[in-house]
Amino acid sequence: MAGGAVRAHDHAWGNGVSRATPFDAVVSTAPPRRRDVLAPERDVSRGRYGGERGRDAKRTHHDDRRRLRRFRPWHAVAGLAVVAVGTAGVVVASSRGSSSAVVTTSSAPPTTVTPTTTMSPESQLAKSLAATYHAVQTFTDGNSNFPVGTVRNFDIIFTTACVDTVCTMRSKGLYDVGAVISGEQVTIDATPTEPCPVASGVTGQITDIFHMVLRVTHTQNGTPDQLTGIIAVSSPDAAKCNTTNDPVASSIVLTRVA
Amino acid sequence: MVSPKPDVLRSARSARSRRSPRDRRLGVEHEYRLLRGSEVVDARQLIPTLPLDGSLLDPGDPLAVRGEWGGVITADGMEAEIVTPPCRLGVDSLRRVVDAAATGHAVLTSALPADVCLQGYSTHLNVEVTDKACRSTALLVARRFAPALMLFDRQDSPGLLIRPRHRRLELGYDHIDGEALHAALVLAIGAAAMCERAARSRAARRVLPPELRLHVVPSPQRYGWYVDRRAGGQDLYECGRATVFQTISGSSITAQELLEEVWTCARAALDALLPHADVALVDEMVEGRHPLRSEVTTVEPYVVAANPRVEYAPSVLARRDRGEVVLTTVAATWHALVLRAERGADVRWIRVPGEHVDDFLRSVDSGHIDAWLAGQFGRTIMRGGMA
Repeated sequence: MAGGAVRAHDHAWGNGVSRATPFDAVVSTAPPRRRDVLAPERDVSRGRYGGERGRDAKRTHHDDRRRLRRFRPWHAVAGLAVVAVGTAGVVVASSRGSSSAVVTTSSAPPTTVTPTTTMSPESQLAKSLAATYHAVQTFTDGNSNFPVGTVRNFDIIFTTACVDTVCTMRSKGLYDVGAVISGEQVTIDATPTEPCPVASGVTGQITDIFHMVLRVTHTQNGTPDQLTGIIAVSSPDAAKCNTTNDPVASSIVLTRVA
Repeated sequence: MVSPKPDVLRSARSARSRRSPRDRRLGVEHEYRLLRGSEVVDARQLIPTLPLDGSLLDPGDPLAVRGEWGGVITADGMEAEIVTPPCRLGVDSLRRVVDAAATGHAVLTSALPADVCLQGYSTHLNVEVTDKACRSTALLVARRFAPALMLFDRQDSPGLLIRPRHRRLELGYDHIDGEALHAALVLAIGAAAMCERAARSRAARRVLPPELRLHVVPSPQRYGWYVDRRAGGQDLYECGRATVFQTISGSSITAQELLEEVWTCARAALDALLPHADVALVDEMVEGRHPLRSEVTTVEPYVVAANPRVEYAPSVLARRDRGEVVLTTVAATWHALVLRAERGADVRWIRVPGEHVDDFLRSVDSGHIDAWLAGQFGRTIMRGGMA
């Protein structure tokens, strides 16, 4: 190749980067990774790169203005129960108060994919996603129970059931509900219930709305190895417990472990 | 194997070193609350269901749809967000950014269900700044320019966010558009340019407005600072131009005097960056011949006059057929663009830094780097990725 526009670190990498680079373009034989596309993000306390977030993932923050408003003392803040570690479909969550409580879920029917003579891309993806994933959940919009930056680790198992060419997927360890696959996107919705906080003096249960959207990242050989996305949880009927709905949001990264 | 023309490579190679201050890029993010009657609709649930034309190209944001209009529509928390495409400073650049924001609003509005409407929530202005000076620039803006910048915000705004992001300075306002957005952009560009210069040069720091005694607090989520409307003691939006601030040297200065100092300083940088017509509006505002956004309670909604499509930059969505090589975009962010280049069964991945995306795509479209593209397939590239 004629021309000698070689970026210094291209030499350092020595791993398949082409040499002549118009407009600083970099050519490779493998798809770039997230970190090559997303800008580095400063850590919130000291402004250094390589902090907790690492990269500028848009869905890992919310507008500060809303938070600043929310932090004002006259705003009542109430907690909200959110997912914790689950094994064999039993999900435990912390309650609005200090004590913990068991959360039950209302099961949603699994996704149904229209039968075709060949397997649809959604069914193929559902099949290839069946595995155990380690999940790292980071709260990006918190409340008094789950401050921003809280990180939780747990496992999720995606199981697939296929009949002929139609496959459906369920998530175990996360409410054990059906997942909806559309293109490369996996959506999981659940409506878990939780008891009123002890401090409220009210007995009863309220229903939370859990919404998770994941996008699939494939390895070079096409195997889905990572899913990244967001989780939003709110309690629209919190008033039943004499408390306030203070939704939380978090980013989540699922990495295939088995 | 075909080699590219040496002059093409040479000019492309030196593109970064030849960059002038005008190569600074701008961008605007608008957040909107979605309302169904008095009920707030969660944009994270609604956006994926909308019939938006475009592609999902942001690996950090599974909801972001980049449309043919050039920008992105996504959700940020409960709110919908419109992001204009990065636009390089120059003739008409401000109008293009303001129009792009309005176009994004129109695209989103047309895709919404009939019973859902948009309510402006916040506006973030982004001005490109060198990464090395970005943090210092942000601090200088916060301590010396913030109250003047806030006069260009709405009078019900809580304050101003100033955040040094990767190679850009982000200023968080309440929702502003049209003329107010134009004026705020002008001052933001001037402030960023002057403070960036001052961050690197003691001499340039001497010409900055005085440092103010302000209560500047850290921004709680992303790294940066927040300046409240009462950060100087008095409520800036209640007292307006008559608000009194204390400087760190102990003297007093009114908001109007500060505004004039800030504008004199910023204008010195803007003369080289923007055409006179773009800064004339702020001249009038500073002199009081035209009201500031903080001096009016309501404004007419801004509507793009004509040609709603923003066509000042090559489309990143378009598939490009260059001889045997087919290029498709697989990822696009402010930081970088990734193209998948295919020739038969052979695949290459091209990552272009954000600041060169428009130039690169123009070169592709004009055929100037066809030979270079073809050359990527005729050579041995070891396996592996870029990092």
